[in-house]
Amino acid sequence: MHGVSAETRMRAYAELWPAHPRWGIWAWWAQRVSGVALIVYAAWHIITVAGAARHPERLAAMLQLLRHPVIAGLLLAGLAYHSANGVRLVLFDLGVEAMIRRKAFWAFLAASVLMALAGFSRVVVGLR
Amino acid sequence: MNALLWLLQRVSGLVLIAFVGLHVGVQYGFWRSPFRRPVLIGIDWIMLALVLYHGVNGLRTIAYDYVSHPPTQRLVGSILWIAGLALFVYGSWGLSAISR
Repeated sequence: MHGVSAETRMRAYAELWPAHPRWGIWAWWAQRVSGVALIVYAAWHIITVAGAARHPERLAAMLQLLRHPVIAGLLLAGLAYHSANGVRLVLFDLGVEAMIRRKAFWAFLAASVLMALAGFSRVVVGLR
Repeated sequence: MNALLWLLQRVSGLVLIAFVGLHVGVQYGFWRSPFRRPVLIGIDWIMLALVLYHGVNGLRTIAYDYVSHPPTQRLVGSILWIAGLALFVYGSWGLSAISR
């Protein structure tokens, strides 16, 4: 982090569960792990889509894999969490009140999970 | 410089929430695209640039936490930026092929 100190960043995580400040380290790790996983996926996605004219079977295999319940679930959950926590960190850095940013985090996470479940139910389970 | 990279990480993240949400929602059939094809390809292109910036800068931030030797930091940073730029060029080429 360059715009805020490591101590400030850790305070932003410690406040997530005020009764258990140490749990914040898990939320911090989750942001890192989900971020690395998402950029690895994005690189594969970009290479596969850009090369689809020469290797259409690779694109078909990727789209097939995205219908797998575990893969789709992990991808959507990773996006939902990384975005919700990202919004919370931006609110923290902007100095928005603690109560509001905590509520914003859970509201955003709940909305993302609902949207992910809706997408999941259509693609993986095949509901319309 | 670092403060600018940090600010751009926030801005790119917020814009990506909107664009990736649209992209994933359309792909998973959650909603139909409100935009026509040329606009969607333009959004894909901006998304490509922002994803690579956000990802490369994120990986660089993580790497700097584990590598304290400044020349090695610069080497790792350069490799990441070059890899990101290469993916941007290849992805842009792919998008221009689709849009024709």
